[in-house]
Amino acid sequence: MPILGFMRGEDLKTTYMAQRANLCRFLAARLRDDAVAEDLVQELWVKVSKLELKEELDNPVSYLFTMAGRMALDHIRQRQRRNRRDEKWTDESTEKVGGFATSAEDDGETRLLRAERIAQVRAAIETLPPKARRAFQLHRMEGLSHKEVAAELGISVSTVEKHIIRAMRELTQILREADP
Amino acid sequence: MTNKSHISVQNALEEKALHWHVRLHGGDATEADWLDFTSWLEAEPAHNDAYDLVALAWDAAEDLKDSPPVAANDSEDIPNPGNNVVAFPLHRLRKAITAKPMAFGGGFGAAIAATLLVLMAPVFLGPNGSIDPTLYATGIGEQRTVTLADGSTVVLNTDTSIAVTMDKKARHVVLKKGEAYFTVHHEKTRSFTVAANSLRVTDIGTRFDVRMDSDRTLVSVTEGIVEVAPLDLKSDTDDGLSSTLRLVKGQQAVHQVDTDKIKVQSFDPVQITTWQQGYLVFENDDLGSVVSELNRYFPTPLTLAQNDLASLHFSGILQITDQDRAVRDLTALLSLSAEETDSGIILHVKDKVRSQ
Repeated sequence: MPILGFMRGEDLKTTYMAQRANLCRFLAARLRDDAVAEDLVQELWVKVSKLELKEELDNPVSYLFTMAGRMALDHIRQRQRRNRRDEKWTDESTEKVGGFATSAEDDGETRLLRAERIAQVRAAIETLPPKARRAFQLHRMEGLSHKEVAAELGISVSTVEKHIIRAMRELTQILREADP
Repeated sequence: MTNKSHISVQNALEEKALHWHVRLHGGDATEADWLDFTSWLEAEPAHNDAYDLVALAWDAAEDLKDSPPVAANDSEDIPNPGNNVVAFPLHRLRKAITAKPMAFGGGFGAAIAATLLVLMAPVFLGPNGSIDPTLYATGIGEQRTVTLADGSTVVLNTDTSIAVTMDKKARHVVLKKGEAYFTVHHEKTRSFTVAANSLRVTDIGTRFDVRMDSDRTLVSVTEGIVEVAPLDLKSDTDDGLSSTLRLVKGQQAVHQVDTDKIKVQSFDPVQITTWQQGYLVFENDDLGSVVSELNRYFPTPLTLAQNDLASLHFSGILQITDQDRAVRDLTALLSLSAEETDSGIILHVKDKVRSQ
């Protein structure tokens, strides 16, 4: 029903308007850069206006902050990549060490590491106790809220939270060890 | 000591960041929650740093959505590149191969076994006027293990043909094109020779690979010793191939067809064993050679939209059993895009501008 879809989109746009300043402040806190935060909050508007939602959002405010958080993370990652590349480039030019990675190769390496990380993350999730694993999968892979996971598994919301925290702790552990 | 307490402070912050994250993504977070969180991030740079790690962890799990899940009872800790993993660094592969050689077996060989072409040669006399050779061939993308009458085995790689002659005095294989890996059953009385281009390879009880490219022939020894000599011994006077070469395990002879020069170098045995498992390993290889290597295995050719793409470097593992998969992995790892056309698949640089 297109009318409903239209209204849902309008709802999110209205929420965006109401939250724009808060989103910008959140992005600035994540990025520590007001100018970039402005750019991203603008980019977020473009995304929101193009969005076609299949179902009504339970929590449009969280939805927008989550989108903003993901954009911030992408930006942080890009920045890290760029810094690493610059570092390498500097090393090369000052020490004249030949055969350093080109930028394209850098990306390949990063992606290779990422692929390895996927394998590690998967392994970590596989080693979780079955209930924690199921809760995390329902929440993270299938997008169920904590309440919905609780209903699905017949456990309390606080137990779901415990499971999710446990899973996330394992994953941050992997990333902490992987990062130099 | 300072170090230790520093770590525990960091862990405490990460734990705090973790709780924030879980609370905010549970489904019930309000505007006030997000603002409280923002204030927490603003309070200390270290808070924001700690949260980076949590956000990355959350995001890393996102990647699992796109890759097929591991079977519930699969306790295999080394990922099988055939099913689950796009690519992973070489040291892991080496470990995997040494530790669990069987983990990669099956599948490929069985899948293509049925498509092997065994062609009987038209009747003609062999070099000694003796027995007709038996021909074995594979098409593009096919591989097959052949057991010869003497118990030796030959693994034919893609687009390969060999002619085998066995009599009381000698065992003789002609590699007509492609690549074959030989595991020779040693016999004291009968030699085993492989002719490829202008080279003659004589086995002294061993495993070795012979590969013919348009411009060169490679002989790679993975076990034992082989002798490499010019096929026509009268060419003794040539600069390049003046005498018999002895290759041991880990050595590879490269014979350039145009110059007739031969060079001996060491090689990585992984390169020889992996094609038999259905994938190729690249380590800092230029894209031009990656593409020509892949094109050996697929009837639909890959080409590069711009010549300068050929100099991009690539490290990773690509499957040779599934072209779509190989192209998908290659383009993802190098940020390329693939365009399918009637004449083949063209690789382009992906637009630098991120889609909005």
